[in-house]
Amino acid sequence: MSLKHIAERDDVFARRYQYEDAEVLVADLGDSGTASVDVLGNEAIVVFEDDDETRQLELRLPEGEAEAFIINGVLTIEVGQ
Amino acid sequence: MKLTVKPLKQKDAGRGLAAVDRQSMHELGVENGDYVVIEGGESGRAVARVWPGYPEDEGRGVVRIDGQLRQEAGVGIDDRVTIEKADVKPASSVTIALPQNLQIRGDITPHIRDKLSGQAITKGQNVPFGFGLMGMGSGQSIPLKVASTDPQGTVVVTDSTEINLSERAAEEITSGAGGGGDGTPNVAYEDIGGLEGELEQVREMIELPMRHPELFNRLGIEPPKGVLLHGPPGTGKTLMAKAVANEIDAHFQTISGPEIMSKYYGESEEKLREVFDEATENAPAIVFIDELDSIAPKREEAGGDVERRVVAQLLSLMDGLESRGEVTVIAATNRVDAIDPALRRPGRFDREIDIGVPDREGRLEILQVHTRGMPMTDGIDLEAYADNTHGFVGADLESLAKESAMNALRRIRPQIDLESDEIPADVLDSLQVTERDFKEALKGIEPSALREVFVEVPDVTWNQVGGLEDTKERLRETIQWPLDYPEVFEALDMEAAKGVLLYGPPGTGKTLMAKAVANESDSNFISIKGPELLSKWVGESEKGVREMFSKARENAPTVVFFDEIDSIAGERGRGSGGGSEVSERVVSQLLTELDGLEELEDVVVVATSNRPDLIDSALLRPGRLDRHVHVPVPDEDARKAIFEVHTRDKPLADDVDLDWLAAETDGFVGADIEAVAREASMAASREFITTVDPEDIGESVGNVRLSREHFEQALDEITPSVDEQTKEHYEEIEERFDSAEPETEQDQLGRTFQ
Repeated sequence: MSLKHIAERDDVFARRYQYEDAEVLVADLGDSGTASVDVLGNEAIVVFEDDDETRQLELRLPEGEAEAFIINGVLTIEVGQ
Repeated sequence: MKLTVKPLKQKDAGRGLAAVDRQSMHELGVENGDYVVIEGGESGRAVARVWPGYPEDEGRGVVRIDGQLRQEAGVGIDDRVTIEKADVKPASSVTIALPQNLQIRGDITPHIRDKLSGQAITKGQNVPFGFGLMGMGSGQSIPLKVASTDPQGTVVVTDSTEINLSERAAEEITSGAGGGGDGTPNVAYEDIGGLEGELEQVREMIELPMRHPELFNRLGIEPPKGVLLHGPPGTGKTLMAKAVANEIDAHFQTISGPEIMSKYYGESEEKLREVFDEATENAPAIVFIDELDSIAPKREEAGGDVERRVVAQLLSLMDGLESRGEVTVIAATNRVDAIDPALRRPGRFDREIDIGVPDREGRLEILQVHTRGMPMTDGIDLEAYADNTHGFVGADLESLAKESAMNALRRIRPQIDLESDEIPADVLDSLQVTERDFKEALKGIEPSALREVFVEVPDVTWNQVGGLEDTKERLRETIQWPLDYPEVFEALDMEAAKGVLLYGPPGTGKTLMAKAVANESDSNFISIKGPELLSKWVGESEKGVREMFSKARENAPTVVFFDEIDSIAGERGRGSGGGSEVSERVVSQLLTELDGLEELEDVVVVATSNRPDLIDSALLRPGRLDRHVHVPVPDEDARKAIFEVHTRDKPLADDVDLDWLAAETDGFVGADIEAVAREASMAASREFITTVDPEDIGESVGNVRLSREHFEQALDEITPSVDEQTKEHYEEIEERFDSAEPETEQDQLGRTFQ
């Protein structure tokens, strides 16, 4: 899934913004379970840990230096250009 | 740090987010997702999560929050607020009070935790809570109240927070903070889609003078006192007035026409005075008059004495000797021309704002507003619905959302036991609106502005029009290009053609072409049948034409289709008195509509006729029906293409050769060819049904083929409907038109595109 793709889904509250120097994807994941995000090469991997299961979401990132973090259920992926 | 408050985009509202522009975010030292405290003027205080600001806000020092947070913080748009990083503790337990009349069986605390998770809440705060379908629309969510929290102060609900339900109902708990003013409606600016420009105008007229009268003092002018909103029904006039009243927290008073009328002499006027008096006492106040035309019609036309006096009273209240102070009047009407002209002057209604039918972007925003709290499955593409809902007003789109939800509801109806008082919580949660629900709903809704003249856009594509390549191309460049490539037309400084006349012998596919154009150009389609326009009353027939065109303008882009235009637009000056005068006036009306002072923007007229020689010549000159397209009797290649279209889904035997068929059918027009194909299928089915045992029909129907023999039978029965003479006649007409038609701009366009 690419960033554009996830921003267009209706069930996830996500937005993609294009700034002058960066492309930013933010998503409100809520606070159900713990989620963590890691950047590996040109992919961002979001791992959700619910009570008993673990789900994983892989996002293809565009070219550039990427940074990703989750604070209070808000996922931010920033790709510098 | 101080930032300026702006509204959020419609689709982002309702999540407790504050979009802070990135530069300010760095200065504050916060990251996306951090909690911030927003402090407004007095005691208002709201907690929100930081969301990245919109790219266009970069460096402007702006925080965007939705109506709910604005209310909590006690601020309005363009106010300055203080923003600080907040230290919010995770809640170990939260007690929630439900409204008294809510009856749900089962444990709903997991739902509440789900929906609240990640949100920051304070004791006494109202939390609008969407419960599946009941959460749709802004006003329909259930107001939950936070009864108590542990630890105290602002807390954030997490996965491990314990949610308790309070014994007491939400109504009994007095809130510490927040809460709207009394009597002010609960509509925020985010609940209005597609009216940004208009909203800005209204705010400038009303909000600015109320908040900062000093600006007007400095300029030495009286602030504006009245705004008249007018536009077609359902476009959001009343909603806008409500939102303004809500956002600026002014005293709000409504007048609805029939209510103030009284049977006693002088009492109707008195009621009007009372309303204004009360408003003055509570100034700053807004008096909202809905359906102004009902209490302030033109005095010379008003039926009774009372109406006249009410209008006079309203006039003097709005701009009389006594100053009305800080009372602003907003009035809404959809019949702006029916209002007494004395009201429509500066000093009374300083500005008239036209609220039009929303465009594509507007429709998207409105859909986003109405589906905000709706649980929808993946893959519902609101943009696609915004694309193909030309002419829909806000009310239609709301009804679209509502009907879709009702469809979803219908699905779970069997699981609901109507006898029991409560609905199981898990059923509520299983409610979801699907793509199909939307599609079904869209079928049942037609734009309200077009209701009287609306025709279902025909389901004909270019694909179904065989042959006629030249004609298709010319139609496409006249009708679709101006809508698809407006920039080209602008760059070359040319106007789109106003109309196209399709002429040719009967049965050659003129109407079919018009249908295809309407379908492919993605426009609204109004079909006018000549005789329907005629009425026995003097002036009514012309009025019909006028109304048709004004509807077309309101709902642009529109294709107005006149079938058999010669029936209503015959040559003038031929009739000998009596009835023919009506049709002459209709022609004149048509002429002025097509090329009058009022511009026809994005409205294209498509007319068809078998007798172009009978049409009034003024109608055929450039600027009116400026393109004349001959739909000729098809030649052999075209006939083959038409045969292809009509036999596409028929099972043909191998010995059927379309080239042979095309060669055999000289002089046949499209309708004849369709008849041949139909006759051949008929012959085949006749043969099949009479030879096969009725019981075996179901099994062997797959083996039926249309053979050459069947077509031969059909060709024997059907004769060409156009003879050589007629064909020549039309060719003559074409020559005449061609020589009269100057080299038009469209031909130049044709070259630039090659």
